Amino acid sequence: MPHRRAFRLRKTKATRDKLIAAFLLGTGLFTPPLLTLFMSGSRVMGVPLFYLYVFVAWISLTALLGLIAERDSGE
Amino acid sequence: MSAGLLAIVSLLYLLVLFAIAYGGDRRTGAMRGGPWVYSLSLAVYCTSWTFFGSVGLASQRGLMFLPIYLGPTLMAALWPMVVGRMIRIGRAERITSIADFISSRYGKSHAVGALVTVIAVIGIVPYISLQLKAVSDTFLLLVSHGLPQPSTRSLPVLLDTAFHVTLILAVFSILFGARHIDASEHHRGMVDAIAFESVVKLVAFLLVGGLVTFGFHDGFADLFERAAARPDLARLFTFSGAGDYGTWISLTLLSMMAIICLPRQFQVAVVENVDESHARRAAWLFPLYLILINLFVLPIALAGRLAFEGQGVDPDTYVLALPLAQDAPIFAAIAFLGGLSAATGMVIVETVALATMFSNSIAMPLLVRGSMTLYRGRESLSGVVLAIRRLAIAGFLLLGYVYARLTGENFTLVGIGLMSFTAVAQFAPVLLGGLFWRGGSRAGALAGLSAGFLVWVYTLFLPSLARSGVLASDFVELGPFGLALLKPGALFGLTGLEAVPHALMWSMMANIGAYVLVSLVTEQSAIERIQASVFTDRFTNVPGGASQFWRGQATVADLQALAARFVGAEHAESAFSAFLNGGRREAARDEADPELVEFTERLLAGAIGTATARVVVASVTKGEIVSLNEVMEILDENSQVIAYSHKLEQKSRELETTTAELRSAYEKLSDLSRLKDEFIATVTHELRTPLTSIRSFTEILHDNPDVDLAQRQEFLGIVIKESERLTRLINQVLDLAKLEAGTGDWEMVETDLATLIHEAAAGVGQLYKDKRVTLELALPPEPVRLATDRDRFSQVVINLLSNAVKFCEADSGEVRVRLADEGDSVTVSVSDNGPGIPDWALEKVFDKFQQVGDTMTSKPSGTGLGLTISRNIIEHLGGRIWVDSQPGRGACFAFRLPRPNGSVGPGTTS
Repeated sequence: MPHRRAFRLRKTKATRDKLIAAFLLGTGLFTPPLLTLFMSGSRVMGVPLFYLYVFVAWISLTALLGLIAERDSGE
Repeated sequence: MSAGLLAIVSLLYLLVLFAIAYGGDRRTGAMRGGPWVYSLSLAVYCTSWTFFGSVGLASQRGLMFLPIYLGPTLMAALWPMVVGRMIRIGRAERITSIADFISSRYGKSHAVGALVTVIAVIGIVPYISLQLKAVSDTFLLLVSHGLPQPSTRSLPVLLDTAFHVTLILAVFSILFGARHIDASEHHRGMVDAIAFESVVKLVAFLLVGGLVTFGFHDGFADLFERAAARPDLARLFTFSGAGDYGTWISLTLLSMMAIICLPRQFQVAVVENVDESHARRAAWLFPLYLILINLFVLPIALAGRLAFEGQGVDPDTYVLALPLAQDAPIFAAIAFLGGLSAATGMVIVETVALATMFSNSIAMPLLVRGSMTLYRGRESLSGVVLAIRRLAIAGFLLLGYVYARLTGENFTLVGIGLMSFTAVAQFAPVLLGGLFWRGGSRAGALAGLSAGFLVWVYTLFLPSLARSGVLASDFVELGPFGLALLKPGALFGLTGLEAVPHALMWSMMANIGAYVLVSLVTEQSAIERIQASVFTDRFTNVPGGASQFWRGQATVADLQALAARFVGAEHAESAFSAFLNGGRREAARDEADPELVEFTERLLAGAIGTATARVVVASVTKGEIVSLNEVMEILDENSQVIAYSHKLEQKSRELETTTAELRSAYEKLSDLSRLKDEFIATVTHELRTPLTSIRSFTEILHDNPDVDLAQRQEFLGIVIKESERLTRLINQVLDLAKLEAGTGDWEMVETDLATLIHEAAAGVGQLYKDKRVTLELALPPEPVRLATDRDRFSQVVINLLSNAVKFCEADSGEVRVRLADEGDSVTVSVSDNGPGIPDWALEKVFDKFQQVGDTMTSKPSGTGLGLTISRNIIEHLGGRIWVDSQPGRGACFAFRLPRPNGSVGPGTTS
C-alpha cells in the first residue's frame, strides 16, 4: 500500500526531526553560554549548583529522548 | 584478602561469563529483550577508565570527567539516524568492522582498510594496556595489606601479575570471539556476555557509591558540605577559566566521535546489531546507563580526597581504596569485580574487533595477493582465517602488555584513554563524510586519514612515549632541532590549550582539510562511484543491486567451490542452495548470473572483508567491473528511472483523485436527472387530476342539457375550483422554476416584519373563520425592521399559516405565530395543535410533492409545492427553515433570517 508506506515514512521523518531538535537542545544545554550561569559555586541544599544542573539537564534530556523514541515506535 | 581466593573468584566470574556466551551462541531464533541487550552492550563504552579513571580525574578536575559521557548522550539522539543508517548499509554490504566499512565506502580499497586498521591498532593498544594495568593494579592492591601505594617495583615478566592477566584475557577473548568462523559475523554469545558485564559493573559501582555516600557519610549534602569547607576541594565545583570551557567542549566533541568510531563501539553498535529498531530504544536507554554510572563519581572522588589527603594514594584507585580503608573488604571485592567486568568487556570486544580488522584488511589481502599458489590450491582457507584471528587477538594483548611495561606508572587512566580517543576520532571525517557526501574519494580518504594520524602521532603519541622515557624528551620541551615553533605541545606557537584539545584541533584541521581538498581535486574511479552512491543514497541501494555493474562469466560450481574454501563446504552448500531455490533459479544451469556473483561476494565479505572478497571473486569470474562510462550511464539511468517512476506515481495519484471527482459529479448529475424525471411525472400527475375532474363535469353538463339549475351550479362551482387549483399549481411550478433558476426580481427593502405578518394574517383570516380556528399573533410591540423582499416574505408566512389551518381540527384548532428579534437574526414560528408530523417525515416535508398523510385515501389538500417554495425563498434570503414536531402534539414550523451588520438599508437588491 503506497499510502501506508508514505505515512510510515512521514512518521519516521517526524521522529527524526524531533530527535534532531532534542540533539540541538542538548548541545545548547551542555555548552558554555548556558553553563556559565551555573558556575557561581553556590550550593542548593548542600549540592553544588553546577553538579545539580548537569544531572538535572541530563536526566531531562534523556527522558525527552525516551518520550520521542518510544511514543513514535508504535508501528 | 588472599591472592589465591581472589584469583579463584575472578576465574569463576570469567567462567560464568563464558557460560552465558556459550548459551547465547547456542540460542536460535529471536532474542527476548533484544533492545535491552543491544543498549547494554553499547555500555562496553564504560571501561576501567570509567570505573576507576573517572574518579581519579574528578578528584583533580571536578566535573571535567563528564563531557566524555555527555558527548555520547548527544550522539544517542542521532543514533537511530546515523547508526541506523550504518546498520542498514552494513547489513547490505556484509560489513565486519569499521575498517571494512570505510574501505567499502571508498571503492572497496585495500589501502584504506589497511590504513584504518593500522591507525586503530596503534591508537587502541595503549587503551588495551590501560585495562591490563587497571586489572593487575587493583588485584595487587586488594591482596596487599595496609594502605595501597603506587607500585614502583618491576617484576620479571613471568612473575608479573599484569602478564598473567594478559594471558588469561587472551584465552577468554579467543574463546568469546574466535572459536569458529561464523559467516553471519554475529557473536551473539559475546554480546550477551557484554550486556551481563554492563549490568555487573553498573551494580558494583552503584553499591560502592552508595556505601561511600550514605554509609561513610550522611548522604550527598553532608559530603558536599565537608568538601566545600576545604577551599582546594570547593574549587572542584566550578570551572576556573576559559581554558576549562575549551577543554569541556573539545572533550564533548571527542567523545561524540569516539562513540561511533571506536572499533569496539562499531562492533556492538553496527556489526552485532540484529534488528535496526533496537537503535531507537538505545537512544534513551544508553544515556540512562551513562547517567547512573556517573552519579557517584564526584562523591567518591571527594570522599577519597577527604580521606587520603597527603597519603599518596593513587586517585585512580579510590573506588577500591575507600572500602578497604573503612574495613569493608566485601565491597572492595565487589568494586574489584566491577572493574574486572569493565576491563574484560572492553578487552574482549576490542581485541575481537581489531583481530577481525587485521585479518580482513591486512592479513587476507596479503595472503591472497602474495601467495597465489596457496590461494589457487583446493584446500580450505577457513582454518587459516581462524588462526590469523586467534593470533591477532593474542598479539594485540601482548602488545598492550609491552606498552604497559614500557610506559610504566607515569600515566593516569584517563590520559591514555583520551589519547586513544583522539586516534580513532580520525575516522570520523571519512566515516560521516562518506555517509553524507558522495564526492568523498579514495584518495581523499587516504590523505585525510594519514594527515590526521601523523599529526596525532606527533602531538600526542610521541610526547607520551617521551614522557615515559622511551624516547628522549628534548623534542617535546624544546621542539625538534630546537625549533620552538614545532613543539608538539604548542604547534606553531599555539599555547594555552591542554594537550588533548590541542592535538584534536590540529589533527582534525589536517584530516578534514586533506580529505576535502584531495577529494575535490581527484577523479573517482568506477567502483568508487558505485560504492559512494550505495552509501549515500538513502533507504535503498541502487535499484537492481550492485550486480548490474559486473560483466563476467563464472560457473556456479566455481563460485561454490570458492566460497567453500573460505566459509567451509557445509555452510557454502546450504547458503548456495538457499539462494538458488529462493530465487527459483535452475540449479542445473551452469552459468552463474550476476546476482549469484554478487551473492558470493557478500558471503565471502563476512569472512574475509569486502575488499578481499571482491578481488577473490573477480579472479574466478574472469570479468571486470564495467567501465566508468558505463557506470555513469547505469547510475544516470537509475536516477532517471527513479525520477520517472516518482513522476508516474504522482500522475497516477492525480488521475485517481480526478476519477473520484468525476465519479461523484456523475452521481450527482444522474441523481438530478432522476429527480427531474420524477418531478415532471409528479407535475403531470398533479395537473391531470384537476383536468380530469374539469373534463368529466363539463362533459356531464354538455351531455345532459336537462340537468337542473342547482346541480348545474354545483358542477360549475367544482369546475371553477378545480381550474383555480390548476392555475395555482401552474403558478407555483413556474414560481419554483424561477426560484431554482435563481432568476426573478428580489426587492430588498427594509420593512417592519410585524406589519407584514399582520397583513398576511388578515389575508388568510377568512380560512380561519371558515374553519373556526383561533389564530393568535405574539408579536413584539416595537417594529422589527429587516431588509427583505416584502412579497416573498409574505408568501412564506401565508404558506405556513394556510398549511397550519389545513391540519387543524375545526372548532378546536389553535395556531400561534411568534416573531422574535434576536439582534443578529429574526425568527418567525408558526405552531399548531394539529396531528403533528411523524419523525420519519420531518426531513421530507420540504421536498417537492411530499404530502404527509395517506395520499391514496385522502385527497391531498395542497399542491405539495408550498413548503418547497418557502424553503427556497428562505434559503435565498440567507436564512434557514425547519420544523419541530411530536406526533399528536402539533407541529411548529419556524424560520430564521439573519440580519447582516451594517448592510441594512432601503433599496438594496440582490
